[in-house]
Amino acid sequence: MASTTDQIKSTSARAYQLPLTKVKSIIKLDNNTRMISHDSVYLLTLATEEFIRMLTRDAHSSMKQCASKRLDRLHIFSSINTNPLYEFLDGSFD
Amino acid sequence: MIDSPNNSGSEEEDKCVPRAAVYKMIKDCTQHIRVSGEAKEFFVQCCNEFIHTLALQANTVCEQQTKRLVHPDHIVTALNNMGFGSYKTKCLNAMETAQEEIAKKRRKLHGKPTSIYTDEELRQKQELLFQQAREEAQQLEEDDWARTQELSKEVLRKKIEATRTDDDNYDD
Repeated sequence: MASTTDQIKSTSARAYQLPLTKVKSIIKLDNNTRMISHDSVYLLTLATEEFIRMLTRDAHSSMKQCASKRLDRLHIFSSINTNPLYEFLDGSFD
Repeated sequence: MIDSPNNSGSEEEDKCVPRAAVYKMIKDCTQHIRVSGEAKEFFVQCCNEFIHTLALQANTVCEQQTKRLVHPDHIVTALNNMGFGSYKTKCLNAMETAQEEIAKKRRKLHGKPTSIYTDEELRQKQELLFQQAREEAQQLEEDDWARTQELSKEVLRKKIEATRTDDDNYDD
């Protein structure tokens, strides 16, 4: 599996930037999780990368609306509160 | 073993997406924009939370289907359930592309090496090389034999000369 991971990494840099092993260990933190296939971890990682890009774009929009020159935590908060998609993040942070 | 995923301990802090990778992705989206350190850290936390939530959702889908192994389909269903169905196409395409590239590399590594010649032409070339090697070996043998002959003749000649000299020295 390690060699496959290396091969995946070398193929398309933009499509895969988070390390699969790290993502897998985060998944495993939840005791109730079942066994997860390698392809599933890969797909989940790709989805997470897409999520980061989406959240960044939304936070950037918030920043422009505030006419700020720097992207701050508040802009991310603002996006979370505005977009129902980010509801799952509500209450996770102080 | 951690009892609850929300337990903040050093073990959980280690199980965090690499900050550098997250920063790089943010940077790719916001090239000329400054991002505060707090915001970067917050992105990382959101990232972790997303992984947890998506994995949990996928796990639930898997359970509902009474399967024992979480399959990519479960991830897709979980994404739809969470409202991130729009990710599906892009992620599946990216995965397919990566898998195709890997398969191509494997074929190259383990498959027959490509050649501009047909099998018959390659055989003929090989036969020609064998013939050349045979001729060279024969030539070497002949040269060797000729050299040996020369050496023997020289030894014999010297012996004969030596004998003649001895005869001359004899007093009758």
